[in-house]
Amino acid sequence: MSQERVDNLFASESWSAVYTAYSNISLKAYDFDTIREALLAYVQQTYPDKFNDFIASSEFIAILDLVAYLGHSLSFRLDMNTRENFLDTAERRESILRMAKNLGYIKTRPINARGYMKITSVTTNQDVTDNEGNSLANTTVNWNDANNADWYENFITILDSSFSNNSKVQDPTATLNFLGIENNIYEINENPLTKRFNYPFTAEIAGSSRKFETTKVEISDDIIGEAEPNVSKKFTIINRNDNLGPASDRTGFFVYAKAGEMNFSDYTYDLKLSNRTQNIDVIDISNTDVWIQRTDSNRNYISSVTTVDNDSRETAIYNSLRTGSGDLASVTTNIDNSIAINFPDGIFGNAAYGNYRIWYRQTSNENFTVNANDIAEVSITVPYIGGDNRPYDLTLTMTTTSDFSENYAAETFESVRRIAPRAYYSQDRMVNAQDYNIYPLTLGSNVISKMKAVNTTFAGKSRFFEMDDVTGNHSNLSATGTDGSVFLEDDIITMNISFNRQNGQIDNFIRNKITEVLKHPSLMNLY
Amino acid sequence: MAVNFAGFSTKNKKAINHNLYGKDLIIEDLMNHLMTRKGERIMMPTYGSIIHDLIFEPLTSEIKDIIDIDINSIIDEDPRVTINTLDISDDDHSLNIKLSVSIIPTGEQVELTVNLERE
Repeated sequence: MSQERVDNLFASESWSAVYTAYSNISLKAYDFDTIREALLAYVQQTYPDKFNDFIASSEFIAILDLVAYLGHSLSFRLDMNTRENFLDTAERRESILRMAKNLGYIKTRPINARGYMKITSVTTNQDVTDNEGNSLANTTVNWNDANNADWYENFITILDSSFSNNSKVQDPTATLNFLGIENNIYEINENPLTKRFNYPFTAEIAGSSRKFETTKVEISDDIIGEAEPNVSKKFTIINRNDNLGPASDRTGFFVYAKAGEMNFSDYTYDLKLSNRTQNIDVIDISNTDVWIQRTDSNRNYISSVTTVDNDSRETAIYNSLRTGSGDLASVTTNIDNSIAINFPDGIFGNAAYGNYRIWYRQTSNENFTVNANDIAEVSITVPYIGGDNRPYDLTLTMTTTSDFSENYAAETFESVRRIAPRAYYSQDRMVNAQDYNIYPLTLGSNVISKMKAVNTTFAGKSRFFEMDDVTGNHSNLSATGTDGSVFLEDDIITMNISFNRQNGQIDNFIRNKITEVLKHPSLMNLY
Repeated sequence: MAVNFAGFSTKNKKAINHNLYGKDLIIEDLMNHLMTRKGERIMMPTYGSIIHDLIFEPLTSEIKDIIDIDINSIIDEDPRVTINTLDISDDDHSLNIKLSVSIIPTGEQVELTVNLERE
């Protein structure tokens, strides 16, 4: 049987038949025009005697056009799908965010400006008096007023009248000494009926009117920062003293201010769903200022939900162990810098159930700076209950005497595309040289645009020793030993300890005597 | 030597095994073009005729001119035919177009009638 006859009989299984078919395919054709051209060329070459009606009105050409269009459409969608599945080529912002999230990377949202504002004057409508019996009600007392010899005493008197009973001048609610500056925190006895969560003001910064608000602060991990929003907490004033006198920028009474505007949303979940996601469709939410709280049905605070960096990979288990609480949630960034709250699955954390309040601060998605004196003489009025249990108003006028931290726009999608795979490599820790070059970049390209960390060696190392490998790779390991010996000692060591059964404390006995015995060198296990 | 046109049709009764030749094929192509509404053809938005959009218009002299120009341009696009006469009329229920064309390779004259019903 000839090869040709075999091929004809078993056309579908013949390699030459298949090969011939593939040889006629134009692999360069991927859009309507090129596919159409390839099909026409194929018909011209293959069926010159059966078809020569190459005109647009031919029915066959119309069908051929349809096939070319389908090929074009399929090719486009295949190409798009493939591109959208790689971080380097993805164009849709949602694709980029999802792939980054898959790597445990969350796009950095805007980081709002924040800093201290010095209180330059105070006023109260309470009838408080100075040491000479003069009323200070509705009198503005300026800080470091050269025209008022008693300015400090008057200033303190007015502030003191507004403070809580457990927070008077010289008796702060919290204290922190940091870099030689003493920081004391005082609470204002806010009127519970008229108080606000934060006290807002606006200022003209970088050509725009921008929202700011003064916030409550707390000391946590030796850092003064904004306190978690809570109705029961009171507004705070910070007294700072760098011992350079009242004219110093860092001496006086301050409030903590942040750019943006705080809001909250309440949610009730009657069904315990695993991995519930709650979207908050408010654009440009601050990267740092999101709090999640459990509340009762009257929206009173019960407990805080710990926000964790991400809930993927092994961190789900790690977070549940680290926090010791099942109330966890991760905050992820959506396209327009709105957020999604991701609650746990009910195994490595408590599935969302009941009432929740989510606080978030909306801020400007722009880069701008607030320098010293950029905000001058802005006022807020804090309602408080005086010592006579009557309501009064304390008016604080404030000025920025030092620079705020910068307001950063959100990370760009191009930055996410670039940084997410590298951040995955560093595994959320800084160990090797590469980590030091990558991990800080996860703050976003607006915060750190370029950086370089190099390994260094220290001076004084003997030149006769092999130098450490500055590239970060491991050096060869040489282990040497001289005069080593192994021996066995059969000595019986006796130690006497005593315990008074009548008066002795068993805790002290174990802590002091038993542990002393266990420290004996003969009981050390060296291998 | 005259070219023997060979083509394809799924609807022409003269097509045996979907093969159509010569004059029949040329007329089929012409009718395909006339009966295609402009914008209907995929990836060819200017292909087709506008007469389908004018069926319900009163057949004034202006409309007749527009149809005349459209049909002439369609005939001109096919190099195998030339137009001899074109008659456009209507009745209560349809728009009627009668045209006479010559097949260039053979010089043969063909009468075509297109009736577009207003229902």
